[in-house]
Amino acid sequence: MTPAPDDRDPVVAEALDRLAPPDPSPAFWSRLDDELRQVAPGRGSWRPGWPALAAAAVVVLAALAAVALAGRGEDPAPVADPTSTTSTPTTSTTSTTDTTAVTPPGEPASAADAVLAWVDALHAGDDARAAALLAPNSAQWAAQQSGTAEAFMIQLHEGYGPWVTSPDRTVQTTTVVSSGEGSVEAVVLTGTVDVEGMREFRSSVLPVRFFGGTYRLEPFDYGEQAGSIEFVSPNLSPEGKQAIPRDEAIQIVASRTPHLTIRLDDEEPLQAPTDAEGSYRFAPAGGFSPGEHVLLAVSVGPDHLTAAVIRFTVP
Amino acid sequence: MVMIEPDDAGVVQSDAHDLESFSRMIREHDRRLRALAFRLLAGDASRLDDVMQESYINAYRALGRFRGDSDAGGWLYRITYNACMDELRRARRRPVPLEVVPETFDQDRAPGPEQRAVDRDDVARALAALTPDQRAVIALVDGDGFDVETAAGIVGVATGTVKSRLSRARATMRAALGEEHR
Repeated sequence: MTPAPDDRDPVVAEALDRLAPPDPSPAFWSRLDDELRQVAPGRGSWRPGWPALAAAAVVVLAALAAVALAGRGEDPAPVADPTSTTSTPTTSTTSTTDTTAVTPPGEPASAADAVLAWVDALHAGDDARAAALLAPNSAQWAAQQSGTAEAFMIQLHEGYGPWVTSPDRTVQTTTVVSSGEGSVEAVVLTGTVDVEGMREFRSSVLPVRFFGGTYRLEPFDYGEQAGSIEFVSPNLSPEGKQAIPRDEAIQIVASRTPHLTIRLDDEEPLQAPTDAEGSYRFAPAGGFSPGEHVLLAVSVGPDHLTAAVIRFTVP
Repeated sequence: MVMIEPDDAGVVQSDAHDLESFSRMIREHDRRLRALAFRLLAGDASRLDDVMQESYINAYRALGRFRGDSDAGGWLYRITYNACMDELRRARRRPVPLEVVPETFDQDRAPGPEQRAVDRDDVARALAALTPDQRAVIALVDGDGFDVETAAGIVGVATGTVKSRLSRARATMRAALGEEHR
């Protein structure tokens, strides 16, 4: 933790200093101690990172693909409830995947199936099943946030559960990495969702690993340093249908990744090199066509798998 | 500072799981963590204690996964940040209650009673005008004095993202604060 006073904006810093937090309430510490006595401290062991594996993967492309497919953790656990199926109201699936491997009975048969099973589980409050559908890296990260991966799923009910009842949901799968051992895929959900009585247009992307004959979601594989992908310019969000000019360039920032996989709508995915700051400006030749667009960006490496999606319109 | 040491395999030792040691550690960091949470909550004191309770309980549950060679303060910062963002997601449809800005105040910095009340409201209102992501980088860099790289590590995004959020957030904050803070 390195304080760097020179980085501070003096006006903002002075203002923030004026907003000192109140002291804890008189019962705060005794109440907390009571709560902590009821909680078993985490006993999970921290595992070192994978620097050697990462270095090897950078040198050998084939090794990179293999590591990216597998993730850093163990083989995925079986799904708790194999009889549960997905509900797919007016869902259309566009897929570039040609994976023909046989999956065990009761397992999701595709990346899209895995994602739909996951949102179904979150919608139903079946946190055990939702957690079981996570790949090991994401399960580990989720457990670090809330004690157990299952406990963390509770916080996702509101965000992802409404996809189950979306009246116009579409599902698109993009294969990012593929080999004889498996694949890394990005599943994009797009449509209208109702959240607490408010209707939103939304796009969400969920990375999925297919490895060892099973599909598992990998939404939280940020790695030690990778961070997330951000669409920083123009100021867009996955919600809504913001308009941009047809000749706009969309700046995407990812960290410590030499290239991004980018896909605009149903066009063929492309591999885009990033600059030293991890930035890439996407501007299709001739500009964007009028209408609605969905732009997907995915970064996959030996220590991370992250993805982001943006939805916008062009007049 | 209470040190939490890993064994050779990187596993936190059992004495670090002791409730008394953990309590000492969080009390040591509480003031700064509380300041971060208060800023992320845009000065909403009514939710502050609950968020801090949640943060500390989450930290205790995750203690076994703590990297012992990492800084305990940074680890707690990240957990507190996550707890605040969870709370903001849960409450994102609720308006920010500016009237609950707390009564307590840093007396050493207070220029006068009337100006003090105006300033608190102004700052809380300016923070509420930011997105939670922007609020986080402002709180970490301009509030706590972390460098951009450290803030990026806590928030879990690229340094370029922190810089762009910081630029937008500062412009919004300065505009919202108005003449009295120029």
